[in-house]
Amino acid sequence: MKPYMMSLTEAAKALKTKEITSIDYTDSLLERIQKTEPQIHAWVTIEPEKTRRAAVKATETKPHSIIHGVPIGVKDIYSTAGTRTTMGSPIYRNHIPDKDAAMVQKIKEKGAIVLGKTETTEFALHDPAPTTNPWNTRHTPGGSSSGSAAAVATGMCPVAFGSQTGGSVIRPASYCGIVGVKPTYDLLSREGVYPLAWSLDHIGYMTRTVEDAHYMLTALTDKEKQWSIPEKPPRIGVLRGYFKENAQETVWEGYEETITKLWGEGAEMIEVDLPESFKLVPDVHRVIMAVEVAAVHEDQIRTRKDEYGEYIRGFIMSGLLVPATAYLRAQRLRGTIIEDMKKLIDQYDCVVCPSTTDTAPEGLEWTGSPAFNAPWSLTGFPSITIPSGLAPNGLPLGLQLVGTPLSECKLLEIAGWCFEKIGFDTRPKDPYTP
Amino acid sequence: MSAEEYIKSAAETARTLWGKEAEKARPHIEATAKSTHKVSTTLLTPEQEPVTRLRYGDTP
Repeated sequence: MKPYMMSLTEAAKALKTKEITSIDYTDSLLERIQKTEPQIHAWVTIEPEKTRRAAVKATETKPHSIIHGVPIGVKDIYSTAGTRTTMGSPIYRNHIPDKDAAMVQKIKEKGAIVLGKTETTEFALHDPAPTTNPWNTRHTPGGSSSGSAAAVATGMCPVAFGSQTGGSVIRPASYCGIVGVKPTYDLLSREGVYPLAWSLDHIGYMTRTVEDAHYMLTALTDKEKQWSIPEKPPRIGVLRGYFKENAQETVWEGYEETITKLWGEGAEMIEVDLPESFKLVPDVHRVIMAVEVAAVHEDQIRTRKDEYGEYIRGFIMSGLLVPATAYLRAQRLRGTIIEDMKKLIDQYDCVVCPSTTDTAPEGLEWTGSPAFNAPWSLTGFPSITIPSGLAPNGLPLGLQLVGTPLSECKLLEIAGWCFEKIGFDTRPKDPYTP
Repeated sequence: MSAEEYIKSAAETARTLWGKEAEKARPHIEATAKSTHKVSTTLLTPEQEPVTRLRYGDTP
């Protein structure tokens, strides 16, 4: 097997036993990038010589972490010392930070390698990146972590960082048929990552397997431990209501098939009713996000308005008009939603819903709806997407698992159980253009 | 004030502040104003405090 095809776990084992070196692995990934990037456009910046130097250093150093010697993709809103960080904006086209973001520093401490910077929508909001979906390059890979999702799906890297304020980790991961993890709010440090909306921004990442996602989380939280899938089938709360009302028909059919499959494998699948307060989620999320995005950009947009895309400019203007009392009221209602949802999810091992409202939309102008992810960005609860099959149009579907705060380890185990029962080809996808 | 009236007043304020530029931003201004109206007309008790930061701790 060529090294680029390995999962993070397989590569880590091969590196440990010296079956391959970090140099072999890095070269294989760079070769894969050279081959697939012309169709996918996942990267803003690749520095092969710098990356190779880091691989040589990793090869010469004794491994002390599962991610030692592993090249990782980093979304281009994470500061990287000495490497261009553009935030997907012309304002920062030549910006070279002098300090790494906390998570970049963390992976470097663990002996991992920054492979390059992945494409993002402008300031991680809406105005799209040029990245395409490897399952069908005429479709969006989702956003805002567009490059990270496409790079992992095609085997250009085994793991990549993203960020989520609405649905920017879970949605692109689902559209690209990979695993996406959005941990509990602030479990992973946001330091050095350009903010979109402070109280909603989450650090997350993508892998091709749940086992990989487990090892990445344990490395990032300094709690590395062996992976295991529970023998006992989980007790899962099944969300319908709002999700059924807003899902495309094929997405809903795929979801119901997955629920039936997991039930057939022995999981307790219990229908649950969403609390009344859940209806407020879209409005509360929008008010908080619009105000915080406006506050983040208020100073800069005064002097550099013409360098902002039309969408973000309009969104900022809308946030500037919201009264302070309405913003605080939204934050007060958020407390009620959190309390109600925690009470509900506490009764189960986790709850599930589809990861997205639709399969990846055609065209690159729109990165899709965050409607099924925003509730978990608003509550700060951990959520994970796993690929659950293909829709009739050949594009991936995802199952989203949601837990209570700080339950991500348990959530990953349940996701692993479901992933094993569902079954999905996790090998890198060659770009397909019909 | 009804939702329609609130959205209209937000659009007018935007026009006063930003002129023609506000027209391009109209879909955003109207959508955020609609959400603001909904949030502003949902009753709360004084004890319900705002969540300004989520502090869940640091151990999964």
